[in-house]
Amino acid sequence: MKLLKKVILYFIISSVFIFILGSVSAYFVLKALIAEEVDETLISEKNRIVKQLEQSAESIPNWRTIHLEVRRIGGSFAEKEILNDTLIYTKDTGEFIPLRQLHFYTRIKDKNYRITLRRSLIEKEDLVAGVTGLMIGIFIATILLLNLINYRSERRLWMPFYKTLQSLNAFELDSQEALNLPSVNIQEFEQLNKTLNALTEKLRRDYRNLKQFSENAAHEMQTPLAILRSKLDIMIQDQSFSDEQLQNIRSLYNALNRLSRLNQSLNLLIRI
Amino acid sequence: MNILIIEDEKELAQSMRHFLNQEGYICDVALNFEEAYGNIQIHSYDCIVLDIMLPDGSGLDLLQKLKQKHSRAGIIIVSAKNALDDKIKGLNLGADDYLTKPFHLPELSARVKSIIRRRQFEGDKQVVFREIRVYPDEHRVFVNSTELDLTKKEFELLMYLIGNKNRALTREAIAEHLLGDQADMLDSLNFIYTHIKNLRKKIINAGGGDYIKTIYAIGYKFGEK
Repeated sequence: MKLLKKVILYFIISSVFIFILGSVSAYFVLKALIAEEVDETLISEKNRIVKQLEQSAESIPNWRTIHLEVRRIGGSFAEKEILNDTLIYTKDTGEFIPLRQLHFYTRIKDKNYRITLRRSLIEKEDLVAGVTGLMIGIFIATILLLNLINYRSERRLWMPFYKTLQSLNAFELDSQEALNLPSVNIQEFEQLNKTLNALTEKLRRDYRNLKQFSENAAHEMQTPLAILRSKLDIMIQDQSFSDEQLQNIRSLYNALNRLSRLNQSLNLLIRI
Repeated sequence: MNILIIEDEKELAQSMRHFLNQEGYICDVALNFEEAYGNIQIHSYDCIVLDIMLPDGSGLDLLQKLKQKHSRAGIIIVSAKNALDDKIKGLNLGADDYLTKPFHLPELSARVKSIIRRRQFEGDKQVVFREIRVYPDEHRVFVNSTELDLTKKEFELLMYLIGNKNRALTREAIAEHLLGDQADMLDSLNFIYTHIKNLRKKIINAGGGDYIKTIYAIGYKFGEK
C-alpha cells in the first residue's frame, strides 16, 4: 500500500471515530438540555395553573386534553411530583407523539386535585435531528476537504522521495555514471539523497577496485603458469627419465592444469 | 628460418627459443618494445611471435608498424588476455594467429610451422614424413600410394604429430590442439587414446610403419624408432 493512501486511510478512520463520538455526545447533550428546558417550562406552568385555579371562584370541573388534565380525587394524596416521558395516541395525525408530562397533586378550597401537564417533544426532537444532521454534514465536508488538501500537499511533499526511489531502482553497480541524486529543500530527503549518493559512490568504487584487482590477479597469474608449463614441456623431451620421475612430472602437469582451469574460471567471472 | 620472439617475460622467452631452436629455427628474442622495434628494422623474419602486453608499449602498435613496412613475416599474437576485443583487433591488424597464455610449446611450434608453410610453398603444399604424404589444404593423406580415409580430428591429430615429430607430447597439449578451449571442460582425456589407436591402425593397415610411441604417464611421441 502506498504511503499516501495509508496516511489518508488512518486519517479517515480516526476522523470517523472522532466524528461518531462527537455526534453521539452532541446528540445526548442537546437532548438533555432540551429536556431540562421543557421541565422548567412545565414547572413554571404548574405554578401559573395552580394560581389560576386558586383565583377561580367556581368549582373546578374535570378537564382532559392532551396538554392539561385536571381530576378531582378523594382522600389523601402524596405531595409528590412525577416527571416522566410518555407516548399518547392522537386521532388527528393517527400516530403516537412523544410527550413530557408532570403529575402533581394540589389542594384547592379543601378539594384535592390531580393535575397533569404535558408538553409535546416533537418540535424539540426535530431540533435535535436538525442539529445532528447539520453536524454530520459539516463533518463529512470537513473530512473530504481536509483529505483532498492533505492528499495534494503530501503528494507534492513526497515527490522527491519517489524520485529518489526511482533513481535507486535504475541504479546499477557497474554503471559508468554515479547516482547523483538532486538536492531538495526538505531536510530529511536532502539528507537521504546525500547519504545515498555517498553510499552508492563508495559501493561503485569498491566494486571497481575489486574488479580491477581480480582482473590483475587473473592476468598476473597467467605468465607464471605459462613459464611453468613451457619448462615442463621442455623437460619431458629428455628421454632419460625413469618411470617414477615421469609419474612425478605427470603430477606436476595435473596440478598445473588445475591452476590453469581455476585461472580461466576467474577470468570468466571477471567478464560477467 | 628466422623467428623473432617478442616477450617481456625472460623465462618464457627462453623456453620458446629453446623449443623452436630444436625445430631448426633461428630465434631472436626481444624483451621489450624498443628492442623489438630495433630488431624488425634490421632483420627480416619469417615469423614473429608477439606478446601484446609489453612494458614500454603495446604489441598492437608494433603490429601496425610491421604492416606499414609491408613485412612478409607471419605474426602470432601471444597474450595473457583472452579478451575477444584484443583478438579481433589483432587479427584485423593483420596478425595470422592468436594464442592465449598459458599455452603448450608444441602448440606454438605447430602454429609457427603452419604459418611458415603457408608463406613458403605457395601452391605445392605437402608435408612428407617417410612414406606418409599429407596435403594440408586438400585434407588428403597418402601412405605410399594408398589414400587414408581419416576423420577430421584424426587428420588434425596426424598433422600435429608430424609437425611435432620426435617430440614428447602431453595428452593435454594434444587435447587442446584438437578441441581448443573446450578441452578444459573435459574430465577425462581418454578420447585421445581412441584417436591415437585408430590413427595408428589406419596407417599400419595402409602399409605404413608404427610411428606413434606411448610415453609412460606423459603422452605420446611421433617419429622413427
